[in-house]
Amino acid sequence: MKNYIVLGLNGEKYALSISEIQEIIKVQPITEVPCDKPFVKGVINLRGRIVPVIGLSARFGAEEAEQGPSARIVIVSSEADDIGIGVDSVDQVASFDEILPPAADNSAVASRDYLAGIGKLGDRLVSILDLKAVLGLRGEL
Amino acid sequence: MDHFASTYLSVFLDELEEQLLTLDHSILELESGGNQHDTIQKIFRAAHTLKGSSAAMGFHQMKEVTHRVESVFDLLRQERLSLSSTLINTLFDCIDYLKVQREALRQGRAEEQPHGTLLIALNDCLSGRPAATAGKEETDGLPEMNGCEDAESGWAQTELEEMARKREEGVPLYLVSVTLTAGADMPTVRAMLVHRTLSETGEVIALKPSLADWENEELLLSGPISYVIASGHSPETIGSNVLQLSQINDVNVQLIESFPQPGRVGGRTKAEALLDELAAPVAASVAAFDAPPVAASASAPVASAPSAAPDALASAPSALLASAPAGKLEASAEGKASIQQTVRVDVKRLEHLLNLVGELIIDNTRLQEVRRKLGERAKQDQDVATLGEVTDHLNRVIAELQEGMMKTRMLPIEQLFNRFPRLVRDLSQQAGKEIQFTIEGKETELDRTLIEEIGDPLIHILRNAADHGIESPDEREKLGKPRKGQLLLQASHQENAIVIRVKDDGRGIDPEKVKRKAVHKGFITEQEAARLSDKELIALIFHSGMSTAEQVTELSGRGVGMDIVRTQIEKLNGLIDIDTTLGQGTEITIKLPLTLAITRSLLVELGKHTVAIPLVHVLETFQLSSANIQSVHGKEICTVRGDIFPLVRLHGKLRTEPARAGKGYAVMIGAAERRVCLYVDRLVANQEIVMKPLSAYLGQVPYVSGSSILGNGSIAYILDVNAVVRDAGTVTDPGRVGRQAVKSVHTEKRVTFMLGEQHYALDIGQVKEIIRVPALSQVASTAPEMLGMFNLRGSLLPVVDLAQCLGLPPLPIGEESRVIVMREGGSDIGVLVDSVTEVFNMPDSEVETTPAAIASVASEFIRGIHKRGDELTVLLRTDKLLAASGFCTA
Repeated sequence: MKNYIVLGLNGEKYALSISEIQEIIKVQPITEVPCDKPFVKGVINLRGRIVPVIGLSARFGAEEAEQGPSARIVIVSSEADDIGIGVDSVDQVASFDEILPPAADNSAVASRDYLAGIGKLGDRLVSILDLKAVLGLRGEL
Repeated sequence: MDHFASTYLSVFLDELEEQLLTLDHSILELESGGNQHDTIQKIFRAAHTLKGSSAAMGFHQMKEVTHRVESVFDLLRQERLSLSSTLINTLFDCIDYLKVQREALRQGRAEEQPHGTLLIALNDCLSGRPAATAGKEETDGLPEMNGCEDAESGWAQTELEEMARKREEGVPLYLVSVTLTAGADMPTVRAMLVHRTLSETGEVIALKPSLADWENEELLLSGPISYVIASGHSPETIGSNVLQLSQINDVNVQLIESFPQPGRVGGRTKAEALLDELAAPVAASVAAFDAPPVAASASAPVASAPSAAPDALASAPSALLASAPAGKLEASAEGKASIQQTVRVDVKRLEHLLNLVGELIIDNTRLQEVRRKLGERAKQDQDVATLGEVTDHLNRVIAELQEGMMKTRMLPIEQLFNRFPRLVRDLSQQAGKEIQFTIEGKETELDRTLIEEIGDPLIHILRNAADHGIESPDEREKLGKPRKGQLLLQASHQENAIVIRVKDDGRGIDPEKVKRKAVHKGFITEQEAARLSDKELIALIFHSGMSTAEQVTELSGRGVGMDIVRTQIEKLNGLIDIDTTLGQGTEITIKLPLTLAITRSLLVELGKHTVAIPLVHVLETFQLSSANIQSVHGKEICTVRGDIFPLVRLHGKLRTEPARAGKGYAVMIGAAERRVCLYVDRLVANQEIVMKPLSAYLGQVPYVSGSSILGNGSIAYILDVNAVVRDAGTVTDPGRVGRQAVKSVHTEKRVTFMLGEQHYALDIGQVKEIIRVPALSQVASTAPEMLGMFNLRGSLLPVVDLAQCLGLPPLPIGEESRVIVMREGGSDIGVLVDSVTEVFNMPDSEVETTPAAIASVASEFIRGIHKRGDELTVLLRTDKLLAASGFCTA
């Protein structure tokens, strides 16, 4: 059974497959980048490598919440590059008993396009993110 | 291709490359300097080596060609053939043929191209010999044709002469006899391997059976193969090296004793004497192997061979001795030129190491910063002091490590430059010109990738110089120039950059011609062209599709050259500059960074971003005041010493705000031949940065070519200077900047200042800088207006009291007093004034030339009076004024 990391964002819970995640770091100063992607927050210096960071709320078209002490940057690896995803919190590692296809009337902020499915965690529903879609690497560049 | 060939192909290609360079170079030398013995020897040896190795690789056509070349040079060195231009051209054709072969092999095509008429041409050269040297032959009495073997000894004439020559040089000669195991696979290959192995310890100068017969495998298997080698190594070493090869039955190494009489023995030549000497002992050693008393086998220690040999040799004339005295060997080993030991390393490995060094540099900078902060906080702490020592040491080591690593990537530019003499020679021949080509600074080292990249642009430039630049000899004579045109190629280091200069003394570039062409081709309109300066017109030759050659020749004139040159140089972060004087010549200067990975950069602040500008692009920086900035046709420009540059503000593009209005700095940046000024908020530092690409995920980031991590861990963007310059347009971009309008503006700026209660003004062009009143050292002077001297960044300047020059009472020095430093009559001078008020536009049209004396100033020092409201400003003529005071010559 696949393991997922559950993330908190704007009061919602999302999950990313653990195999997609390289590491999770605390928030560090972000240098803004004047690039064409509005959801790219900037770049960080990750031990000598320069890694772009995207804002997940910005990606979902929501307001960026004030960063609390629990905010983290999740470093995922996509194709050649490592990319950071800014989230409000990282909650737990979980595995889902059942994964449903994303429903049309999903209550989560994220539109269906970014979801790979809905996982049931106890009595909570967690949106499982489609990493490629979230990063915008699925042909919408 | 068989396995052997493919394994050794790269070695062969390297050797081919090297020898071809030698050949190219030497033949050129020969052509320029006539019959030079050493050069001929060099060529002969190169051809000989190539013949051997191409035969070993099974490239028969190449072998044939090199063999003939060798023969030609053999005749040359015996002075039985004289040099002619036909001969030289034929030789160059041969080299070209070999080059074509090399390229084909490199691309994996093993088939040889037919050499066509080359052999015929070479044979013609060879057979032309008797005519040239008919008289000589009889007196010499040498055996007929070189390369043909002497029936008795089996050594070729050339080989014998080479032996004699080595002998004279004092290099010990050894006869190495190698027997292959009966039924050995591929005996030709074995024999060649032995040849190679022997070449490692010395120079193989003679072979028996001769190379031409090596294809006959039975011959190789039937008896021992004899090599004569000149070597400083001991016979044991030579032998054991060979024995390490497989399928070798036995090796016998013998020293060939010195000649009783070098030179002619009686009526015979030394070669013939050697021939006789060698003939018998060789036979003897063959006998020794036929019935081996040594019972030599592959496993037997070689050392035993020499000691055993004398038995067999006892009856033979004692021309060969079994072992050489040890002392003699050492001496000759010392005499041999030391060969540099090298290791071939994969470039990728070096790149990886260089990246690691880059990381170290970043961490080191951070460490320095921490240490500085700790040092400030706890000055007395012993541990902090120790940390200081360690970081200092680390700093030095890393600096050295970096330098060392860079050096591994560095190659002398010689590698590239050595290709050019030949190129220029061919160019000049085809174009019918006489060119004296000089190369300077061959030893200048630069990054290997740069060497590869800069070759084509340089060829274009050299071609242009030879084809268009330098006039034909007749034309030059008419112009009163020497018939031979000068073409100089020079490389040198300048701080963090390498500068390559190509200079000719030809006709120069005619801006009018360029203009006509550009208008004709529709790049610019007539009106636009009229506004351009000569320099700007000449810069148009970088426009693609421009070629001023009236005719398209084979050499150049296809109109792509300079365009490609610029693109290539921009790609390498370089600058290109053309300096040309009509009728006197052209000088093209290329400035390149030493390396691409680590660059010295100027760090500047643009709003919230720190931006690194590679120093190679930075021409100058200066503080910008609103006075320097004007707006023309909605575009900002700034004026620097009379030249106009577009002023670029990138804050918007980088999505940031300027730190504060008004007081910024300008950084003049240049890419290829264009220059623009970049507005920045602050100049931060000048430091080494390691280039890191920005993630491809980010897509195209405007004006950013990469990023770098700074000492404090923050990230700086590296400015894409080429993009900035390209988008800014330049003053050569005609529609945007009205040159005339600008010109009139910039000459009308004046600095105004006070002397007592009166306003005065000076042309801003005369003012170098304005400073507070420095400490003045008194000088003995009769002139009361001479206040003293002061030290301005190392040079001593006099300061005069302007008021006294004008016949006014002396000025008291107060808080507002300033010294205006001016350049007057070729020297700098400081002028004391009460206070500097402003810089403003005072168009000449508004200046009234009132001759009436105002204040008490003599009218000859006054250029005019400017009225602004109630304020009257006197515009001074400082040249006259200071000349009258005796400080400057007007």
